Amino acid sequence: MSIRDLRARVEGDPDFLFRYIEEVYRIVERHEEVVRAYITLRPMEEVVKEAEELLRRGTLGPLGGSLVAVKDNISTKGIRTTCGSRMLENYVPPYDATVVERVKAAGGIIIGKTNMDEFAMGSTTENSSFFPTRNPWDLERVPGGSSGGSAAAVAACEATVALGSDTGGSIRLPAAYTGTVGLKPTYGLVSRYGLIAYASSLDQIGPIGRCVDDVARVLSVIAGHDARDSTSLKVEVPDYTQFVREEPLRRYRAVVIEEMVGEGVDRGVVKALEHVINKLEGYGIEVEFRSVPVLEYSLPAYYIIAMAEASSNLARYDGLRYGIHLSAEGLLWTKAYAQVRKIGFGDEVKRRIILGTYVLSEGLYEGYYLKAAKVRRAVYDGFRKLFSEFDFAVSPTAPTPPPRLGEVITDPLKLYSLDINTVPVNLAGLPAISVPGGFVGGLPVGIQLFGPPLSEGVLINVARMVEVIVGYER
Amino acid sequence: MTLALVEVDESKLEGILRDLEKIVEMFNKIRDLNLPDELEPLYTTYLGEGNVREDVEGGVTGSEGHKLLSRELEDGYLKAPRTL
Repeated sequence: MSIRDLRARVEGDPDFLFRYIEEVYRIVERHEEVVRAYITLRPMEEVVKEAEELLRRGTLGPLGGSLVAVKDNISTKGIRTTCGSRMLENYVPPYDATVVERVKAAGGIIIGKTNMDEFAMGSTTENSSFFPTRNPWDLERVPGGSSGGSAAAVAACEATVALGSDTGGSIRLPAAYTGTVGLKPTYGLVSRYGLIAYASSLDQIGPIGRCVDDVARVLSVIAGHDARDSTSLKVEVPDYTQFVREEPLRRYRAVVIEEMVGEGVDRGVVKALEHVINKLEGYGIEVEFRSVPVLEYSLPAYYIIAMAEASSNLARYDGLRYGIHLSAEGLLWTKAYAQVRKIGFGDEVKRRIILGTYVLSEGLYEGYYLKAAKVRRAVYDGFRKLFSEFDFAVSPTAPTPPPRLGEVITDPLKLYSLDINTVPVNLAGLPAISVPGGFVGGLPVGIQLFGPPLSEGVLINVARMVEVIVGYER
Repeated sequence: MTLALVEVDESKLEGILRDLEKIVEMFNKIRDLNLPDELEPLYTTYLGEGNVREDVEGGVTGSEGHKLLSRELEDGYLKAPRTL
């Protein structure tokens, strides 16, 4: 059920909200044993109590009692927030992230905290310290990552909508693999206050839903300036649902970037993209092909920058301020610190801290980090030039349908290559949306739309058209 | 690993080193790239002017803050391992 439908039903019959909550918990009970989307599911009694409070408030708010699943790296007051890591296994934040405050104020009810790759480092949710999440479409396959729990919860109808975070594709990739819609906002549009940092210059929080309208509704609630985030944009936030139209709001020009449909992209995925492009042309949208050669370097540049920032951000897990507590009696500080990190972090996190430290070290900084930052500038300039001519770009979200569990996790380069089409968008701080683009071999594939800064309205409009073209809406 | 202050299980060391080598090889694509000197590095894509709050003492400070963060205190101070 969509947010719009739920809200309308509750408005006419407030008791419907309790029946809805019961039904969602019944679904969770049926599916969760195999899907495993949640790290922490709130007891139904607590959720019902909040529903009663919401109805007493007298106003349903734009989210109308929606059950919102929240990725476990977003702080929730009084609810355990593990970041998918043993390091924070028992951490209970004393405050809500700004996005959580806003969701609650808008009539959303937090149903639970979803599984994720540890500290958002991964693309399959297999890097969770607790357990892997499975793709509801095929339980032998991954749901994508790192917001895999959020996307799986939405796809399996274990929540109305979800919040995820996207550093290099962590909202869009799981959305593509689970047949859901995921939006990564322009850098700074949504507050990061309360988001546990991975790579601060790339991280953004965004919504995952079963339809474009739900995603537009949640974005309207969470977007907007927040003085507690020093990189929050001071911009007017429109009601994004006004862009959910089945026809173009103006005459658009679209671009397909050759590097995003070339080598390594599955033939079936390309065919799904071609089908969507042909239909978009039928709406009068002009589509042209262009090359942005620097994108060849975006994957290594992204990983250098992300790992460098991670090595700094994760230094705070010292067992004193944050992280697991060990007896340090008789140990030197460096030894105690290394022990905490050895026990608290998983292999992928350790790998990224080691490499992040390496690329920032004296004598290597200029060759790796500084050059990666220059490539980032070239990507940014390349897109800026492109979007002076075009309104949006269209590409496959992921190069292939979802891999099998265990298929890519043992080879880091294979794992990183899943992000090939999503990381350039984060390097440039642009908004992007992944919308279902059909099926290949019975598995969902996603179409990515991205555009210049603050073009979320255009992307939502075109994503709604893609929804109609593909004929898949839940 | 020493510089990063990260310890790895002996049994996993070989596999992790192999993975690190592969990743560094991918990174070398960037190192070996010829870029114009005048190309400015980009560290953030933030479009605004920044929101920096006034640097004033907050409500929770000193030992109060320490109590919130740590379980092990001595005379109101964090008990930390020795550094020398």
